[in-house]
Amino acid sequence: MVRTENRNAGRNGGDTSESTRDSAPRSKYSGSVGRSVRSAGRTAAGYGKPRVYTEKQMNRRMNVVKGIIAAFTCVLVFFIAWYSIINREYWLNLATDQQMADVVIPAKRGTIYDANMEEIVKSNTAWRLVIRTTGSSYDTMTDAQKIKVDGVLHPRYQDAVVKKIADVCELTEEYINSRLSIRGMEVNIKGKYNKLQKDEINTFITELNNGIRAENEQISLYNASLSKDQKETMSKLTLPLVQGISWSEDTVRYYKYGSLGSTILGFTNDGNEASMGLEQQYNNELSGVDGRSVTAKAARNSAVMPYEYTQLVDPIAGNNIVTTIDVTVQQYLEKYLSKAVKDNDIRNRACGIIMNVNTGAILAMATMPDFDPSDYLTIKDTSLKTKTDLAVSKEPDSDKKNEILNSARQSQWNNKLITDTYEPGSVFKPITMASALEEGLTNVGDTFYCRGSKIVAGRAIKCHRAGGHGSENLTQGMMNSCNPVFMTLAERLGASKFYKYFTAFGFTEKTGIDLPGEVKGMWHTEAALGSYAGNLAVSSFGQSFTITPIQMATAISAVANGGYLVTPHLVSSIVDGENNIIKKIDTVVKRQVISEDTSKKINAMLEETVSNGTAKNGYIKGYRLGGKTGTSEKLRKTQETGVKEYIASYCGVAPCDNPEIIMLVILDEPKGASHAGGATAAPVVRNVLSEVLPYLGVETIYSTEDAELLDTLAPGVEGRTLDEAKTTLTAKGLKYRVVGSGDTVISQIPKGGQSVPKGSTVVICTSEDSVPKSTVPDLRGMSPSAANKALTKANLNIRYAGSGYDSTLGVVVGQSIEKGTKVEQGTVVTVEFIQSGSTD
Amino acid sequence: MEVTRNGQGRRKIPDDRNYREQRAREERTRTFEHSGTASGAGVRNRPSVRTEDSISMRLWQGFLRLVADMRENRKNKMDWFLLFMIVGVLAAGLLMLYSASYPYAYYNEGGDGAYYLKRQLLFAVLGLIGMYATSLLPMWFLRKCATGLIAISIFLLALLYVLPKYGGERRWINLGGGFTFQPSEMAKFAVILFLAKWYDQNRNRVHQFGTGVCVPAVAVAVIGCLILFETHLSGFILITLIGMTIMFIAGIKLRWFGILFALLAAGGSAVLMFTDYMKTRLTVWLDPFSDRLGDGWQNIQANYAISLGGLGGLGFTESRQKYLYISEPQNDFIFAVVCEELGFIGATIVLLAFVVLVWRGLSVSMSSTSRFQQLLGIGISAQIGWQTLLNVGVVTRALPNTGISLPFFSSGGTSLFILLLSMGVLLAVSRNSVKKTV
Repeated sequence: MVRTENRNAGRNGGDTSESTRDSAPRSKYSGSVGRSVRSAGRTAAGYGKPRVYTEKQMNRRMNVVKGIIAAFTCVLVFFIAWYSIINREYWLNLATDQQMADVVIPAKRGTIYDANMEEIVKSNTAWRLVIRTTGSSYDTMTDAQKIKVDGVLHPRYQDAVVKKIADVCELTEEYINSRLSIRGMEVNIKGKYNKLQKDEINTFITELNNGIRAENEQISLYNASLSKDQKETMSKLTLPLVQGISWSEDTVRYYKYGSLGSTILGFTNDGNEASMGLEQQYNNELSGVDGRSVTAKAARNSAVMPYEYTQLVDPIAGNNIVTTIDVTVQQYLEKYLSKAVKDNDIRNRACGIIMNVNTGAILAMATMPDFDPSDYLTIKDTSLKTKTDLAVSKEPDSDKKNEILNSARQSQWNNKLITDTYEPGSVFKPITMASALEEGLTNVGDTFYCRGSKIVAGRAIKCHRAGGHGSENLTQGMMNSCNPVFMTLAERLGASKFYKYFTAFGFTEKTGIDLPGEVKGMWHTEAALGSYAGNLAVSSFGQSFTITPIQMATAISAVANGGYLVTPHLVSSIVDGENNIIKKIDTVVKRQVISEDTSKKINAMLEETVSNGTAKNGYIKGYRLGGKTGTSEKLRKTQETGVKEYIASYCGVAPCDNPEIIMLVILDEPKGASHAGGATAAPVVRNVLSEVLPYLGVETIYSTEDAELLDTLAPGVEGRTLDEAKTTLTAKGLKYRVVGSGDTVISQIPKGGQSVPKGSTVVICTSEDSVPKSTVPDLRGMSPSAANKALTKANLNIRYAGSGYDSTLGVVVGQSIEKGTKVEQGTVVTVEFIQSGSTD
Repeated sequence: MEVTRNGQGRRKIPDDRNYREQRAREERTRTFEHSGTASGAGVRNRPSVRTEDSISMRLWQGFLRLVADMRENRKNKMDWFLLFMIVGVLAAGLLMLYSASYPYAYYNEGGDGAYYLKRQLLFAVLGLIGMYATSLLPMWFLRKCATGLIAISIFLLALLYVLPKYGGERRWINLGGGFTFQPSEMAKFAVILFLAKWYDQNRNRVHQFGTGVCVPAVAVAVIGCLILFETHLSGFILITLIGMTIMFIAGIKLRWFGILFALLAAGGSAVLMFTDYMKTRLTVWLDPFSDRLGDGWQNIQANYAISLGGLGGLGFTESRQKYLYISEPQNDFIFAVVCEELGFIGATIVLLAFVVLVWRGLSVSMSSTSRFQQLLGIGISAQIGWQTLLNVGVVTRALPNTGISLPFFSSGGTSLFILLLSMGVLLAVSRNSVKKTV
């Protein structure tokens, strides 16, 4: 009977659908089971008698168990779905992050070209050194296990390898060892290394490994020779190879001209991030897009996934930029600017700019002393370095130490032309003049009288010449740089017109040059100029307000180019790898400030100032140059320190009949013999332009006076008869002096074909003896005539150079052959003069 | 006499429940209750069993009887669907083990990626042979074994406390040659066998506290505690769950069942509350990132694997997490690799395959001919069911990490062997159950 019931129950129990349905209301169901058990027991046999636990009840309980299992299964399926479907993104990101070795492939940074497509900065491939170290468990390994360590630098070879790396990479062994003490990691060694360095280290390792392999062969041969019994105790372990040294590719900036133009270019740091200069300004163009190489990696570094899983995203190289900089011009500028820094003992750096007046294209721009962009953290200027080191050594706090160091670094990175402001002084005067002329408040024939000072708002404001310039016309006012003339002009303009032109010339706005970090100065508002006449008067000659040098250069450009205020810029175009132009940067004319007529008048005045006025030191033979000197007192600093500090500046325009370039030089805090712009800054401009103008192919036109002083080529008369020689030399406008008593010229000084100034004496020797020698005298400080006399006395020829040698004001500041040198008679000594007593 | 699906008459082998009566009957009649058969198995002479025989003689005679019954039992068809599920799940397990263990074996066993597969395969073959053998065992024999087996289990579990630790744990007996034996595996079966026999013998006193609750609970508690104190928590949980299941099905009073359940829950939560070890485990369970590189590692890696698998999986052998991320992908966390390679769909199918296997096992057992067989089969099915659910629960972080392996999948030779033997017993039960029409 039981069996039959059992069979039925079995069928029911086995029926899945039914049991699931039955088991759904679990609690209620199990309760009823309990009751039914009890009641069944009672009704069947009463208390004390065996109760029957029927197959049916058992079946129900089985359904409960099945229900629990089913429910549990559903929960688990949900949990699987949670990770694999519902919340998959979150976990998947974590998982892929863990598994993927994501290597950045740096994009090649663009090249910076000069105006003639000469590469100034370009990126080269360089390599970083990566060393994989043994795991932390290494020390606890047995010898046999240690041999098996794979893909890491085995400590056995560490010393040799570290020594080699230190040697090749110019690092200290302590540094490398400290890096290698990080266990079980891929350790980066600082710096980027070129192919030569990389190859040298790789060759070293290959050779080491060849040696080890040979040794291992010996060991295997030895082991093979052992008998079976000996093997257990006597066999030797083979040696591991040198491993775990790898290189990751990167790029490094290569500066073909060293530190040339460093304050314009800026630099990139170790992580190829740009700072300062064009690198920062055009970073988006230059940087390109880094590529990525994503590879699967196993949990243990040494283990590599056996299947390929690599995704490569190619880097996109950056665009190249073509600058307006001319490397040759830049070299001249930097050469003479750094010379000026040395000669005049400049304390707060000097800066200069050569700019195309019509387009605003900057041909050269420099701040000296500068820095080395490939070693930008080192302070290049020795005096700044000494000062900084001293300050750092005195400072106990390490944070403050860094602060001092960083501020020193920042100061050497700054491009003074755009990040520093200064009081322009007399260089500003053409602006006041142009404003007054443009407004018709004066004309070229206007006359003024200078008593040495002008009383403005009850206060006498001095002219730089104590006795005054007396009666003078407008041009003479400019030539003499006479303060009262400009105060008068400003007075006529009044505050509102003065301010109108001040604004129009762009002094209240940034020039918009394509460099980062441009600042603005501080100036009197229209109201301040109006409320106190003193402000206006002092502003007229460039004092009491500050501007940036680039603003000054742009404003003078506008004066010179016919009145157009242009935006200065350094980049002319952006090109791709095949030099296809992607973007062209055109001249931006902001506005016309003054008329072309006014501009011409000012140019003429500036030319006069160079030819006959205070800017004589800016004069170069054969060129029509205009210029204006400036010497301003740093009033604020003087107030702070009590020591008078000056800024000497000079702005030249060339050529004056049709201006093409302007050049501005500013020397901050000269501590040499003079602090005047005419004496210190003007020669820099003259020296640079005398090389740059011929380079740029600006035509020379000589005045008759100048033509006399021009050089001529000495004719070769050696081997000719004495008479022939005399005739030839005289025809060339040269004098002669005969040494010896022969009839035929045996030798001559200067030699045939050499360039000599007209009127020089050629020494011709007719005897066998060589040309006699004489000693070069010390000419320093002499006047032009005295210098000429001294050299003539020594039977030497003079070549005048510099400025002021045509007047009594000229003073010798240099000579091409050092005093005391013995040279052959007739040798040409180039003597550099400067116009002494030049003031603004 | 009932007629089976294939139309053959059932071979009647002396059953356990009425064994004594039958023996008495046999004594009297000297014949066996064999039904006449269509296949023509004739009536055999059996050696007589006499009480006055010597022990060795009786053992010999018993053995002969066992062999004879096993031969006879071949004619009773086992449940083909159950067999199919067992072999299917085993085959899937072996394939997955090969894939999951390959990198781990490659790096830890000297480049032999198939190391674990080979071992597992050996035990699978041995286990399948053993399974067939045990599937022929007559119930009277199993009944006889019950007491002895539980005694041996207790002895071996106690022995563990004396023997040196193996692998840092007090769980395995080292058999040498890289083979180990886990007495708790045997204990599980012993407990099932014992409870089945006990409740069968006392099927009319199951509602009483002493027989229904006390004795079985003490038996489970003794074995359980021996396992628990060798710090094998998962073994304890499993044996408790199996015991509880059998007790529940066997028909103990729900009141007692409730009390037992409450006691266990109270004890469990007390342990959770008052031991730091458990507290940290709980914290790591809820937030594995709190100990990312330590205790949380395995859980995190398993969860990563499941997420990588997504809906359709990365494909067989394409798991990435098995590359040394999952600490022992051939063992407790093999299901994570299943999820990763076969995806949500594949993992669900595998999980459902287990459930179907358990389901079939439970159904077949329920339709068996005696309480002993019913409870025996239910116990064995429950063991697989709970173990699977707990393992998957751990892998999916539905449950805290207890270190429980996945039947048929996880690497472990002796445990697979014992598992297959117990499957044989389940099949033996199926030989005596009433087949359902499909």
